[in-house]
Amino acid sequence: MNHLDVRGSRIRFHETGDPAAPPVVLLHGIGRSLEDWEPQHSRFQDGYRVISIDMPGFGLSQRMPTPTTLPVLADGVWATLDALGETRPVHLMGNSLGGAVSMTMLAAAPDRVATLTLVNSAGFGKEVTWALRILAVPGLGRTMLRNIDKRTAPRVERTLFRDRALVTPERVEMAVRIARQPDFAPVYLEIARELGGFGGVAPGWRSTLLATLAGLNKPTMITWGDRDRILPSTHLAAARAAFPHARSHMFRETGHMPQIERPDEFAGLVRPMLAEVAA
Amino acid sequence: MTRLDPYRFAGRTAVLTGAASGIGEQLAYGLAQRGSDLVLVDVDEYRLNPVAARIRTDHPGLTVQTIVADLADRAAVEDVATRLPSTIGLLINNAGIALGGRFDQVSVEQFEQVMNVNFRAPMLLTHALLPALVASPGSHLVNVSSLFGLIAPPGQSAYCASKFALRGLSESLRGELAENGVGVTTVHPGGIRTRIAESALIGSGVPESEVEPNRKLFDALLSFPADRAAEQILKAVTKRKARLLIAANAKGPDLLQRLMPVGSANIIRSLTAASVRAAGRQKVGAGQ
Repeated sequence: MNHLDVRGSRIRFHETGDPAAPPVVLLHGIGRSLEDWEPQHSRFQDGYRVISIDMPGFGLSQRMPTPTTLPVLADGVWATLDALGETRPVHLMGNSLGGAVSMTMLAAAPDRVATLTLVNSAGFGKEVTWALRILAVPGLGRTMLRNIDKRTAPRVERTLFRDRALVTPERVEMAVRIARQPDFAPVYLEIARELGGFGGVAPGWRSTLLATLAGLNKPTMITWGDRDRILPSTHLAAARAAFPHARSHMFRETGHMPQIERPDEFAGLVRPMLAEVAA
Repeated sequence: MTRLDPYRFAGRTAVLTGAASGIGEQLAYGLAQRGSDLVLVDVDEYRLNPVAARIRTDHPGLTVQTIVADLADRAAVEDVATRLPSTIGLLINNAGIALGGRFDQVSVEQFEQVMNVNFRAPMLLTHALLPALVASPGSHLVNVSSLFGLIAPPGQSAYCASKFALRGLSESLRGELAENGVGVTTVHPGGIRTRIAESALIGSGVPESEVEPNRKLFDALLSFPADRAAEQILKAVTKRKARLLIAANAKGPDLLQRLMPVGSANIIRSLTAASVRAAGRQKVGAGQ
């Protein structure tokens, strides 16, 4: 993995494929890392410059000096791409919180986005796992996040996948390593509290963002796993209503991260849309 | 009776009749959104193709097959059955036609046509697809009967006969198929805004002067939007509900029928007339 200095913070990224090929940018979810996109690097790198990024304050990247909000994360990713010399329109893909960041990036710079792929994305309903709601309770959130260790991390990982075989020792080890980062708990709580509270995902930012994006008609793919325990698959209907121009797909027997659980199907679904834009 | 898990749509194939318009069209969109591959059957090719095309564009990951067939024709139904995949998650017998007119005003041929589309076709299809349904555990069968599968107002003899028959078949099958892990839902829509009034057959002996008022009456009762009806049906499938009544104006008459099976006819007739008058007066229809 490589690191870059972005606005004074050390940002970790992973890049494969021909640097001259059209760029694909992959963004992970809350409290996660670029490892969540690892299976897709090999499935896109033959025709694309594939870049996955630990968003500021997540994974092994340092945080931005200002409190973590969607615009701060979106700006952090744009700045990382600038630092990489990537100024062409990108194919943006975001999982969970990464989806909300992708939408924020699109709203901020429509000309820099070629296509948008939202994978079990935040932003389409208030329902979210109780675990994230409890973070909003003063005191509880910090305690919970401090307690992520070898014993508890497998439990968290298990909620992400339908197939428990995907909870590998490597994934558990990475989750523990991420949770030990000094910025982990503060950044996690800042963004969790910005996005919602005990009542679920707040409607304010969602409706503003969706209204902005609907008018752009950017080629969009929305996917979900029908067994998502973090953000329910019923949000796909709301996403389709918000983006009538979008294509969509529901993966069978799949949890919160189809890009890991259905890697071939995922790539096979998304690649034609990317190819259409290039043509 | 064993309890079935909630029905999961994604990655399974759903076979849907009457898919080109009304509740069927909306069911097709709802199924695609939930990730089901589709086999769409309808007699109306010109309405069916745009529905399939729209789904293929919106959901490029799905397989969408269309079959144009007249379900009134026994050989056509049997042919449909041979063209379907060997495992099926969901069969929705939705196609139906209406026939207006007193029993003495409709011909035997017309009566039989209604029975053939509304009852014989679902019976044949279900019989033919039973092995495919049983082969995939947790599969599900939906039969769209009608409010008129619960009550029988005058002037609807053929339609009521066909929908009562379908309900009987469906309810009996629910018990039989439970042992095989296959769920069955019988749906009784009240006044859903579909093309059924427009495309209704009119009894050959019905005087011209009665045709239009009857069509208007039927049309005025149809006030519940088809997309909401489709959503309710798919929710009922998820929950494996035995019976689903849709639209408020389907629930009252059902209750009445259960309480007073014989005396209810007059009450329903006067209520129907009253609600149609009300629907004519304001924008608010009987089902809202």
